[in-house]
Amino acid sequence: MSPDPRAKFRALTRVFDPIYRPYLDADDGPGSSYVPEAHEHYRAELEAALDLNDNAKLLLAGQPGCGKTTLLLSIAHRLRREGRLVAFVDLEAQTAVQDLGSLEMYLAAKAELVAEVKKAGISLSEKTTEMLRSALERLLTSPVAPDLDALGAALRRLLSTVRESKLLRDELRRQIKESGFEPIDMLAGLLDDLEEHRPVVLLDGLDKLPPVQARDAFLGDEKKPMVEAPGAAILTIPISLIYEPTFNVLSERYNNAGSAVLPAVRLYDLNPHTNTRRRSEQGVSIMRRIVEARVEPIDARIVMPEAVERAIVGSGGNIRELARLLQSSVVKAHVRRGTFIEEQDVAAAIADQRESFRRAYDPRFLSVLERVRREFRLEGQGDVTKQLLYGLWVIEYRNGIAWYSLPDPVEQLLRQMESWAG
Amino acid sequence: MTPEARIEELSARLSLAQGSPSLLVVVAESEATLDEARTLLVGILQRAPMRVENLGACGVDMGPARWVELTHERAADAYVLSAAPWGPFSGGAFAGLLNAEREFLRRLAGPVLLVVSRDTERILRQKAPDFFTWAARTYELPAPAELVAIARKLGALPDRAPGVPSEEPPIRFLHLSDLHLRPQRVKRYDQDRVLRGLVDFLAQERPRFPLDLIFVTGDLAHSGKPEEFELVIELFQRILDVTGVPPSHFFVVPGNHDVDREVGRWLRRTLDKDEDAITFFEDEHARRFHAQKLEAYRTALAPLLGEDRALGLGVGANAVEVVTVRGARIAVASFNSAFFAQGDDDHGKLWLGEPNVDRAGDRIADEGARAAIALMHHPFEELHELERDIIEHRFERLFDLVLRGHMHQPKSRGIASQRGGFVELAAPSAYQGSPWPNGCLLGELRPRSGKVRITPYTYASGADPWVLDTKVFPDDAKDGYTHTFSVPEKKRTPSTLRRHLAQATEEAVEAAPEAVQRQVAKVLGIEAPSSRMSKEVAKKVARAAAAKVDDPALLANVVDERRMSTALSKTAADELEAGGPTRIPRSDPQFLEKALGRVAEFIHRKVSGKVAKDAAREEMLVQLIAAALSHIVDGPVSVERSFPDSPRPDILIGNTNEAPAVRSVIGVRLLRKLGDWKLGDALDNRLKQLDHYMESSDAAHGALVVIHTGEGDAVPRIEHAKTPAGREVLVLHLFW
Repeated sequence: MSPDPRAKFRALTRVFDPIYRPYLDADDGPGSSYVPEAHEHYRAELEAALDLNDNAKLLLAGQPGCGKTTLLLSIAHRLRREGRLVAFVDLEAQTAVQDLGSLEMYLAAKAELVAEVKKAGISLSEKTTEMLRSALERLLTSPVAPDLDALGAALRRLLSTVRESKLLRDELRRQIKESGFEPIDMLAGLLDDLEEHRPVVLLDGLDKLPPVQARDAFLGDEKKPMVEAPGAAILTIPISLIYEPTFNVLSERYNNAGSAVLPAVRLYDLNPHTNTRRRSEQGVSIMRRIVEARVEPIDARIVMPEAVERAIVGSGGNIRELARLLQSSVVKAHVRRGTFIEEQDVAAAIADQRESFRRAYDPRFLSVLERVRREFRLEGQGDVTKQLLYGLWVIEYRNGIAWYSLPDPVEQLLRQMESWAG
Repeated sequence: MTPEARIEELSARLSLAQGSPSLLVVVAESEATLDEARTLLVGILQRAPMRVENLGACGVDMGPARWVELTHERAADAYVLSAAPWGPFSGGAFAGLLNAEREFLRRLAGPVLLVVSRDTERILRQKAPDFFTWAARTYELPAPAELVAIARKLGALPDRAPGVPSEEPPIRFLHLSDLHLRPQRVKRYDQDRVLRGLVDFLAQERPRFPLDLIFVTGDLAHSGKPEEFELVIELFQRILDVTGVPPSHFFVVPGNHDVDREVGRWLRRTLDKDEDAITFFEDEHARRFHAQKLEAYRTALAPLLGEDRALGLGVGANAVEVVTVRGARIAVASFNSAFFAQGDDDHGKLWLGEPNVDRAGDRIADEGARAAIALMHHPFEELHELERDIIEHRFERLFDLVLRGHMHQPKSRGIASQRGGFVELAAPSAYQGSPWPNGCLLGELRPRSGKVRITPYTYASGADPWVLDTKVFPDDAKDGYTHTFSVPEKKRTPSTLRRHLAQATEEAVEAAPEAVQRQVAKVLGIEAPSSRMSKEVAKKVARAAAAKVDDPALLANVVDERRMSTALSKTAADELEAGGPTRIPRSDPQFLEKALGRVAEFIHRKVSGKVAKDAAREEMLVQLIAAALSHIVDGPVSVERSFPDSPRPDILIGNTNEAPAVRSVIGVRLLRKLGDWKLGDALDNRLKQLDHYMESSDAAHGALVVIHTGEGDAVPRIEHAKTPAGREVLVLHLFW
């Protein structure tokens, strides 16, 4: 509606920024960019698992920028509509993920649950309230009133204290250890109390744990996150752990949890017999829908269809990368004093991305990666794998196929690794 | 994209994103020019119709959470800040912080431009990958000169001084000398007043003249006694505190008053011959008694400044320390001119040692330092006449700046000669009693442009006790009584070892198959054509590889053992032939022990630590030891070893037709420290083997050289041992 194309450009730059989260703008439910086609299959599976088992613990993994958070938000929205009590715990936002311990995780979960309870107008049993109250009082060393508002505020205060500094965190951990008051017990008590509302805890951001800590948290001998809590939960887990042979162990600890690995959207279908690939119309249409969803409130006609097409191919199926490319194209068009975002802008943006990628990764790692790829022998997975996958994209791009796609060698590699794991 | 287009796009992106959170990363070439680049960038961006706020340099403890606060405090359309986490550890910590707090980026008041150096970018990409995926784009900043040109074109140069930003930032230093501290009963008050004034002066100057380096050229104490050094330490600690200079950037050499004159009164007062000087400065053993005279000095200063510091006590390569100040590598050689200082009649009796200066020079050249500074206490005139001129000539070739003291008179001169030249600065005495002049020098060194500016200060008992000394440079009144010297350019020659290794590398790369050459080219960042590589390109790659010989990984991958051992043998030949002491005759019954001692000394001093530890192979070491021996022992030395554990000894000295008494067998064993290695067993087996060798070769002498790797860099030692058959043999332990 706005007559000023610059204002539209400004709005476009904003919605395509990697920092932007559509749901922050949306009034309720998931943001506008959830496209059912993209991950519907996984959502159906996860929802079915939750439906069957009120104590299901599900694991979710996927490359950065492939839509995990969007999927979880959409699930949360649907479950809430079904009348279940859903706590969406954004660990990335709640606490310093780099130094995340079970203490912070459960505190954040409790804070989120209490807030949800309050929103849903449910009341907690006296016993649970008293348990929470006395524990918080002991930790904060100040009186806490036995009502939801006060409890929520106290939990938030504790969380922000924990976030403040490492010293305080350690101090709090020590106190909790001394008092013998396990945070998981508190959470379990709370969830038990809410049993009739079929609570679901969604832990988003756990996949951002640094590799060593991720291994400690999920594969070490200590208790696994959420294993002992009643009620249902979905946890994001680092992609590096998925290909570990130990994933079986992990899944056993979670009572053979269901898991979903979100791929980047597939732009090509691989024919294993001829080892050739064909453009996947379905994948492309998903990506197109995602762009449309973001552009829609602004002016869909401002982005030329060819430009979108070019950006989709360039993104190789990574949603965040697609957004980033389009944002750069908007700037290119603006500098060019154009009125529309055209294919040439996207091409220029892709060239820039390549340039910065080449600069940052050339030439240190390529020789090594190429050798690894040639010999196809891999030892020690985890973070190495992640870096390797990333690096392989670069090689593929250098071979002129795409800038940022999940190409065949990677798929082969993944399959190979899975077969080792089996 | 041209630099200008890049800047234009950056500006366009900011204006589109204004008011909404967004993160852009701007990468500058080096850390040294980061602040300058940020200021220029802000100036340029402000030309566009938007308000750009310069948030300054961001500390390592300032993550996105703090950025949010900063951006909300100041209303603007876009924000620029730079970050230069210094060193690998703080780099990692900073990356961790950014990664952890990236969620806060959503709350920024507007787009933020983060200016970092290329090194920091690399660390962030590695250690803060999630933070980095949130960056909308990475822009590369044009080189400073181009940036200045763009800024000038847009009329955006900061108005404080046109053209100044492109000037090299100076490295600021303080030169103190001759403090003569002692616990005085009568004049204690006077001493305190002058020196407290100095500390206050430094504290007050800190904002205007933040020091990077501090040099103290001798005579800290009055008679080298521990109680005097207590005062010294107290003063130095205060200076470190008020200036904020890290102890590693505080350099000290001893003077004649730091020598404990009651120790070693019976020691040699001087050296009479060049040969003696070579032995004295090459052999740590020979100067161990002289070193004891400085025991009080060492025990006092080492805990304050660092146990591994040179402090004028190290000789040769160990006298040199390299520090990096804002990207410029500065080599500082701390020489002890007071080895032979005893009474007040030192004139003409002191030695700095030609080998000492040469080894220091090798190290400086090999380190590729941008500027080299020599510290010593005495003037050249006080050195022994045999070496006075030689040392001065060597200094002309090596050093940019020579700092000294001793005469209690400020004296400065610039020397330019066919060899290069240096600027010699003699600091006045910092304290000799308030009735006499007390002073110090402040300097600004600009290594790239070859300039050093000196500002002399003096003590004047008044409200402002330390003031500008106008008497030192009376002719420079219009420059505010400071003087700028020009430092002649240097051509420093790399050491023999480096030359030979470089040559070996060049040959190896040239002879290598094309695939290897391509790999090397890639590692070195040389663009290789996709078609067949021409001879010229291969040569270029080889030469570039030779220049990068310090990279142990490159060496180990490209240069094979044969070439490596040839290079090492050549080094041994050059080093030991060049005017070294005469060869050891085999008629000497102890010839083997003496020869091994020299071999050990040579390897310890020249080779270990320069060649990568992983590159060490037994075969290579056998070659090296044999080559060294053939230049030390008078007689034939042959390598008999054909394969490991062969029945022949590794090295044989002497011909088969000679008497057993002049013949010797040597076994070489490389021991890698891996967890709980059982050294005893391995040695026993080897000694048994040595028995076998001695019997089969009919030699009277036998030795085992054991090279330990992975156990640190200890001094080599020779032990006497008995073989299982009861023969007396020698065991030389080398630590690589």
